[in-house]
Amino acid sequence: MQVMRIRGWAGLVVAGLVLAGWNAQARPAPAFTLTDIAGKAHSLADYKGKYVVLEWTNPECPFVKKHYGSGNMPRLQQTYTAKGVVWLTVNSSAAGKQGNRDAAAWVTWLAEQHAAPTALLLDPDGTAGHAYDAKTTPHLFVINPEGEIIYEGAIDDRPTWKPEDIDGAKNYVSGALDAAMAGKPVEPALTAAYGCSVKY
Amino acid sequence: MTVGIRIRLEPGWHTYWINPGDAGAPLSVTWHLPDGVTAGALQWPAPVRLEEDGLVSFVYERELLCLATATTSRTLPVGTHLELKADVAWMVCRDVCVPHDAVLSASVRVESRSEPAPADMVSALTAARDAMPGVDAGWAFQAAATTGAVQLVVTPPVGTDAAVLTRADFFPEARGVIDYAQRGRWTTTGGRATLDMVRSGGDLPAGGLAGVLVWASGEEGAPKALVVIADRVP
Repeated sequence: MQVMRIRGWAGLVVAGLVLAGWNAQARPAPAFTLTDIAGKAHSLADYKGKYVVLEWTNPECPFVKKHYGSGNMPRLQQTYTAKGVVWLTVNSSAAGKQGNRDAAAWVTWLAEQHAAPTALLLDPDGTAGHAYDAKTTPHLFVINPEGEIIYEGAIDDRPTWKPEDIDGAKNYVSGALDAAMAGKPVEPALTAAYGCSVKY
Repeated sequence: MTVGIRIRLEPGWHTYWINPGDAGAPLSVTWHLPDGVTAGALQWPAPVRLEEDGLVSFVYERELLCLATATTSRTLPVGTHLELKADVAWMVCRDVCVPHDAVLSASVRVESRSEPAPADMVSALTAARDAMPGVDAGWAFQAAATTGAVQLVVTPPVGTDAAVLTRADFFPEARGVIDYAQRGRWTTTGGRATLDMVRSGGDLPAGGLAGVLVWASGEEGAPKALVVIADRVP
């Protein structure tokens, strides 16, 4: 019995080593075409050669309010779009669900929040959300100029809805962008996103 | 002295375990206690699994009653008043999420003999304590992670059939390690039960895999809830 048990674990170790090399490569970012609140279509392919951030949002979610009301998210958007990053804020709320709103309401919200994404994309069918497996608002994805996801997960390391927790938090998105732009490895490349569930 | 923090929920609403699952956030408690009084770690009852739109949360419905043990470092004279205060913040969700916070307090007076507390309060605290996931040294746990999988191996004490676990739910304490949407698969062999789970990418914590196992303990009675602290193998 003891021998069998050891052999079982040894098998697991071998499997781990074989698969580790495969997983080390970033996964390709799923293609999408979504319409923004002005009616303009945006495809990921349009932005090949640039860093792209995808940020899932729902203005009525307390975790989203934490990062907008404090100015944290708008600041990130301003900082990185100024460096040539394409920042796409995505809403996947289905019709009739919380966060699904008309274009005029989105324009008002963006202005009130001093938000500065490149575009706000609407995904009411959840096609892009499911393709990326976006679970929460916020949930962030950083895509490199080659079209690979180099970071996905939480905005930072403080999984709460309280704005006072932003000060001193480690921001994973700026960390990933700064590292990648400096030619350094992105660490961590994957974290557990936190927030409200996406209202598919 | 046992201190409880109770959240009562209206039907349809839920609040979250220490690991909320794919979305949500747990209750947070900041104690404000008199000098010489300290509160131990918050004790959480076993949650239930809630699946909505492919997302899995670990939640409480109807009620959450967390416990903590408060202790004093010195002998207190009879008649001493202790004011126990806590800033608590919690989130309740159904189709939408609403954060709440409150300042809770309780006054305690040191008596020369034990005074019976109100019966409903005692029975609520006793029931909560009895239902808490327990540490049982008779059970052995091991965990292993490969690139795509996490495995939990459970060896029950002699006399307990490992097959009781095949309908058990495992709730992992660490976030981002296990893909909750894909239910784990139990197999039993040689007196052990093995749960194969899909890994979501995060590392198994250096200390191993901690969490809670919950299963029905028969036709009636409360479910059995066991604290899991699984060493990492190899």
